[in-house]
Amino acid sequence: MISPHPWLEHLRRHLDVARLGRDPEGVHQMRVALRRLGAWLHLGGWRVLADDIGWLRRNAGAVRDFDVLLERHPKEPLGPWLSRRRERARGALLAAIDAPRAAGLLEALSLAPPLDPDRARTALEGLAHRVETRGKRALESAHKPKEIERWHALRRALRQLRYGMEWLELPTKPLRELQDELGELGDLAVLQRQLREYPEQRHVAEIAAQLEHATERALGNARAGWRERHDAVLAAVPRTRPWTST
Amino acid sequence: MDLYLIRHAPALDAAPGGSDAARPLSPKGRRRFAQSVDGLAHLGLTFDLLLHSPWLRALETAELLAGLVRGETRVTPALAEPPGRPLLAELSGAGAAPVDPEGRLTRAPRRVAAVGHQPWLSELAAWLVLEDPEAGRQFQLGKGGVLWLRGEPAPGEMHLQALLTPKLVRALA
Repeated sequence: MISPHPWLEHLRRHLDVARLGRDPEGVHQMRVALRRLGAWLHLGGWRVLADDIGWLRRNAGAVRDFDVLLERHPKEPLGPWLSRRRERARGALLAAIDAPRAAGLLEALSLAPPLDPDRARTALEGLAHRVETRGKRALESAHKPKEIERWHALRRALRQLRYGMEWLELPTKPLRELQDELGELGDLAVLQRQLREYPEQRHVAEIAAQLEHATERALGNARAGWRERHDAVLAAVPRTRPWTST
Repeated sequence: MDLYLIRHAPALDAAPGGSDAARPLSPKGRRRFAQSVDGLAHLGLTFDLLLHSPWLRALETAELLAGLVRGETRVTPALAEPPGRPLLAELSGAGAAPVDPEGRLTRAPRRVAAVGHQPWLSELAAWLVLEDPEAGRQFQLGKGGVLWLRGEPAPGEMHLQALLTPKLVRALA
């Protein structure tokens, strides 16, 4: 039986670090723990608590996105503007961390019964199927904005499958490699979203042009990465029944 | 808003040295409440929001109801204590019907379910209907039973629509 407690403790520790705000790793690790606990709930077939995890994770994600962007763009014109937006996101995160809903989530997770590995293995197959479907859709996309969105959807599904497999202590090397290849596209999309909201577009025209090139390159890497690795990714998932590739 | 106060299904006794909060549903309680959920589905009932206490028996009851939820579920620690202003604020926020810029309702008032414990659910009902939480004994609610209230979630501002006993809810299935 698989207990959520190791990652629950990880979450508790990093909620405190995130609250203090001195080390960006606090928010990052808080988000990682929430994602892993979300995968644990999914493997157990739980519907409740998933929205609570998503709510807290989105609050952490907003701050984490700014932390990553500020590492790459600390100077004018973007840096100070991003910092102000980060402060607003941090205010919302602190309110969420201290909300009764967050305390209730921790209490409920601490009371939830451990996960049955057989049930988890069956759930893994559903996650693997989702990865394959999303990969296929991304590759078939004809329009760029839609394609980017579909690679993100694949990355999310892949991450959930990987975390699910790690709960079962299964090897995940091909999944991690593909996840890394898709990661760049994710970071670029976060920057693109922020740039769209920047008030003086002419000040960021150069960054926008660089971003366009980088996105093209990242899309090429995503397509190549999926073509090269999808067999290995799907083969890593244990099957309780024969797998038919679509 | 329509508010459905639902008492958790029958649970096992606490394990030796175990906490009350960690009591799971009994197999029979789980089976019977699954029938109750079928009964509620038969009525065409769905929820825009499901609030539940963090205690295990409420969590497991809420999970059985999850198929009737069309919106969000939210863990609500205020359902695991005597009813107070924080719970009313939570219900009030949950029940607010969205309005357009002209103040017209954009959709029907929300249907909210709250899964919790006794005597607090009865006290909450008495507070919302009679303005008197101490009159909770007038709202007897068996395990797996449903109290249906309608109105604004403020003291004395709700009306009792129905008290569905567990047996009646199962019979609807």
